[in-house]
Amino acid sequence: MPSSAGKLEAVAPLRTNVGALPRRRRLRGYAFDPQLSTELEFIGINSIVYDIPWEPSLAPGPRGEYVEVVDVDPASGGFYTPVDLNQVKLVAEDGLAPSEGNPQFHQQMVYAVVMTTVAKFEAALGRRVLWSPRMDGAREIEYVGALRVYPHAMREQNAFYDPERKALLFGYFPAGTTNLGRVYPGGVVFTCLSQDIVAHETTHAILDGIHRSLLAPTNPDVLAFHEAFADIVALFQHFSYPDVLRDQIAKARGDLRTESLLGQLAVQFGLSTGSYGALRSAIGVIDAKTGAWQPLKPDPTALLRTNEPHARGSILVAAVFDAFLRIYSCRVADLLRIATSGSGVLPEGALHPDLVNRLATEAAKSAGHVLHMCVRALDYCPPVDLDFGDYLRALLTADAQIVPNDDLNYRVAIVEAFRARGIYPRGLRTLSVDSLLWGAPPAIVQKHLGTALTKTLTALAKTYAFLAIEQTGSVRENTYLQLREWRKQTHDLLKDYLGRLKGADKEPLAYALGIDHQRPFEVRSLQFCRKIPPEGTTQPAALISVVQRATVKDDNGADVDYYGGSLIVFDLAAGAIDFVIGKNIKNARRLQVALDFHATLTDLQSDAYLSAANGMNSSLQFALLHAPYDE
Amino acid sequence: MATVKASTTRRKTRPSAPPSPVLAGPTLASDGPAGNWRVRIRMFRQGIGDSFLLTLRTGGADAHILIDCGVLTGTKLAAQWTQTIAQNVHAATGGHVNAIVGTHPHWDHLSGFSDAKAQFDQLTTDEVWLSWAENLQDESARSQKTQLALQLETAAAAATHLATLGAADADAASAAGRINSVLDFIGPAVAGAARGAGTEQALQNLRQKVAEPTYLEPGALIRPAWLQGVSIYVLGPPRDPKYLHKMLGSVGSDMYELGAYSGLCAGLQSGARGGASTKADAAAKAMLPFEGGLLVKDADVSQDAALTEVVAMYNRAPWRQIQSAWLLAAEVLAVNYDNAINNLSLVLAFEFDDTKEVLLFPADAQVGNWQSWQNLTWQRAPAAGGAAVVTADALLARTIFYKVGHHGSHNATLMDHGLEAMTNPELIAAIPVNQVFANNSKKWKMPADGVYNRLQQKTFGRLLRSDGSGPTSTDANKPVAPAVAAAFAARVQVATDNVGDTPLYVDCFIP
Repeated sequence: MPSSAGKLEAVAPLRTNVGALPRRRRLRGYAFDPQLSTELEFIGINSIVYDIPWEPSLAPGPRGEYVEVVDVDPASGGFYTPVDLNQVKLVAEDGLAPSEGNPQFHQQMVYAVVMTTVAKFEAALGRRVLWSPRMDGAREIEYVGALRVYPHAMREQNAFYDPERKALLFGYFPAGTTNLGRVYPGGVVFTCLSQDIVAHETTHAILDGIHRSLLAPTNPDVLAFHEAFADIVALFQHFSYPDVLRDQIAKARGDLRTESLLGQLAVQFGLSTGSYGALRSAIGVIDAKTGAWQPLKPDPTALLRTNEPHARGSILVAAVFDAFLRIYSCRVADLLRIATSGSGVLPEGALHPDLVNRLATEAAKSAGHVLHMCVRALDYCPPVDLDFGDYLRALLTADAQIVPNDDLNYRVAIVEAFRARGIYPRGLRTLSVDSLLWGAPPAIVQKHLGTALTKTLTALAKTYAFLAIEQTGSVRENTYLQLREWRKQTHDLLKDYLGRLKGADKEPLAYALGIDHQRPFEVRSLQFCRKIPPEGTTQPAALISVVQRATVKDDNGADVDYYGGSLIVFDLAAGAIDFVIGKNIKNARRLQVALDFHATLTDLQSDAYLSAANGMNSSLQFALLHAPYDE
Repeated sequence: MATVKASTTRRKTRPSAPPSPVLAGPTLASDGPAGNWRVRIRMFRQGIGDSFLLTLRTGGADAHILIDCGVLTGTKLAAQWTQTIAQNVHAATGGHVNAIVGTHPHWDHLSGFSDAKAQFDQLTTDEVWLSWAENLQDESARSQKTQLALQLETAAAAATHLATLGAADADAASAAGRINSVLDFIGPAVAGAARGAGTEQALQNLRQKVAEPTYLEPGALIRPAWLQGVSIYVLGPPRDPKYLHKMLGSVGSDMYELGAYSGLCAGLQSGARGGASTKADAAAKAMLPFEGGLLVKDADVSQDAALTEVVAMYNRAPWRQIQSAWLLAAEVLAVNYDNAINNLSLVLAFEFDDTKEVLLFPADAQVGNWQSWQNLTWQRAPAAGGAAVVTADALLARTIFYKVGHHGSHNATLMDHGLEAMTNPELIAAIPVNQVFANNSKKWKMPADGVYNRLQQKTFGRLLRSDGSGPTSTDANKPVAPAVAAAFAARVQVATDNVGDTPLYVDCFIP
């Protein structure tokens, strides 16, 4: 029995009768946001049940292993009573019914969406989600077990992940008057009730836990990637609700390239803040003058024209979504031929429910695969200075690792969709799938480090596998503490090796790892994971990221941080290094990009007031940066 | 929506630029290059703040127009500066000017009319020119003023509240400091008085210099009887409120409408925070997100065991608390408010009948104000001759003197339909600024690099700064061409009398 029992006694009968705790917890919530529950067209699909893992020690808040909801409302000067999801009534009735007027439902909603998002990542990555630790400068000073969630943090058209507080802050605000007729002017809009916004912010937090360097922008793609990735996760979540999917596919008559809820983000937020539709859409826009929906055409030069993170990110989102649509089209081509006797022309009127069902299954499957690929690609990204081209290569490599023969042509679909938007890496001779996969690691790394790493990592991996079983207390905390210790060991191993190495190989070996052998470096992350292919057995792997920081002066003599390093992907089964995915600290072109980017950042902030950004709280920079942009 | 807070891009303070090399030529006789000038533009050098005395010798007696007299709160010898300016204007004009222009209600443009009231009382004027937005008889001006006053009050209240929280929260303390720093434009903080009261008083003093001030509308064209051979075009401020809030290019959402801040406003007015009126309480209640009774006040927390646990956890880790987070929106509000006032700047263009050359004084107009000029056309007065219809672009193309907007900050000089449209090769620009004070004390980027570099190029170095004395080049690789520098130097003259150790003004003579 957990110690923070509270009203847990109420659940005890469940446990004694069945002999074990439930496996899943079912909680009602909005599929999108409260807006759609006020519109007849969508009301039937907007209320869904989130199905999340049962946390045995969930306390009122809800406060569990991964997340603690604290419902303080400083602007109103008080708190809201925490919901206790272990009350028999709530366990039996799938939690509270969706309601804008009940703060306890808000707590339930954020909890359900955060946990759903976490579960998606754990399934794809094959390891536990850990939040980024509390930092003091570059030093980790405290393990953070649970992400804080403040559902009513401020009175603003805003919601954000705060990397310093390790918290999600959601605002609420009165709706504007731009879309009279669809919104209730002055009515309170809660960002914490939007699936899209909560999933988006949660993804920022998860991403920060995996790749801390993504919050230190060194090129125009870094923050844009953060935004894009968060949007991608929120978008593909739409495809995991079967009723929503069937409804929207029936309305779209199977063609997902037309306007539907599936490709839109934050409908209520968009309408209430004066946009003419959803805040963002992956495939189309509403023309502000005519009010008509228009599909977005891919523009291979768009990336060259904008450095604004959301605008840039939306290009990556569109590319991924387009890849998904291409995959879906391929997967349903045969179904449509069968349904139309080969003509490919669907008859007038509603589609047959069986066909809708089958199409929905294929859409869900395609979306699931693409999301999975997108998440797993995180384990094939260079540890610093990520750009969209790197991400494309990571996507393809991640997929090729577990699905060696691409018989459904997913990878070609991805390359095509990215190419159409001008996203490709530099310096490749051709843009074929083969040439885009990360190449074999430099022989010098295998030669010197192959044996040493095999020995160390294999031993560590064995201990790691038993962490969950042998230790008491939080498995995630133990994992964190253990990995932190091992990172140090791995660092010492590499440092000693480089230090002792004599002769001609010393410098080239460091170079192959993306670092300068004469300067200090860190092992920023060490991960053990299992790659789970659709067929065959799981493949254990270890990931080591080596990071080095250099400080250079810009034209004005100001310090600019600049990073190099690499990710070593180690195949534990084969005892061999699979990849060394690096960004070399000695790369002059990359240094120039970093300096140029730094200069644009300075320009961006060179407004007389904005540049008070010298000491300006980062949240203001953020708030201005994320004011809705119009096209 | 939202997103991640980029925490890592704090900008390092940049060392301030060294004083610009002075390329000025010989000191001229006090009357300037003998006889061959039509306008003398005297830029006073008080720091961050505007004060320009135009003397026009275009036929008949010299006409004198004083545009603004103010300096930012915190400037050294602030009162002495404006008093000396007022005395100088008196001396240069024989105690009488034809018009005084108050461009917009910011302290750094109007402080003199309070601080140097006694000196200005000695100076007489035929006319006082203000924008329609300062006309208290004008209904939309009044409602705008009410809205802006509420924004100001909210921002100031938030700063006060943040300062209180700041005792235990460094973020809150620095946010309070930054808000107050922005609000310095509206005037000094005086205990017991509303934040903008000083500026309103200065404005009122100015109004009272004449029986009835002239309130100018965009699209107007003036040809005063005392001024021959010159047409004065009024370009701003726009009447359309959508331009008022346009600072950085994005418009179209009501993000910056006051409505977006009504929650913040109401929260600050609630009885618990000192504003104890019943009306304020009602406003605060109306903004509560839920029906009454659901909010548990701090004092009542202990009555609920589950909530007590949550609150205990919240209190255990102060580094994760969010008590000040909601107030940080006031920082954006303060900046927006301040920019809105800038956008209310009265913008004047002086056009010579014979050459059609233009002197442009946009005060602190920001993007929206500049853009609104594109909606205007003027019918040139028959007496002035030339083409009948005049557009803003045509005025820009013929501009030979540009008073740089808002001390050279980056969003007060528009590019397209702005500086890029100023194609006259004789262009001179003047920036009233004190870069050292802006950069070091205020941490503001004035002048902004992008604007400054482009001004250098567009003017071929004929760029005056009130913290420098002559044509300047900060780019050692591209010095001002010697011939241009020498010719320009002959038209520039620095005051021989000082305030502190700074010369009082720099004159620019236009032939």
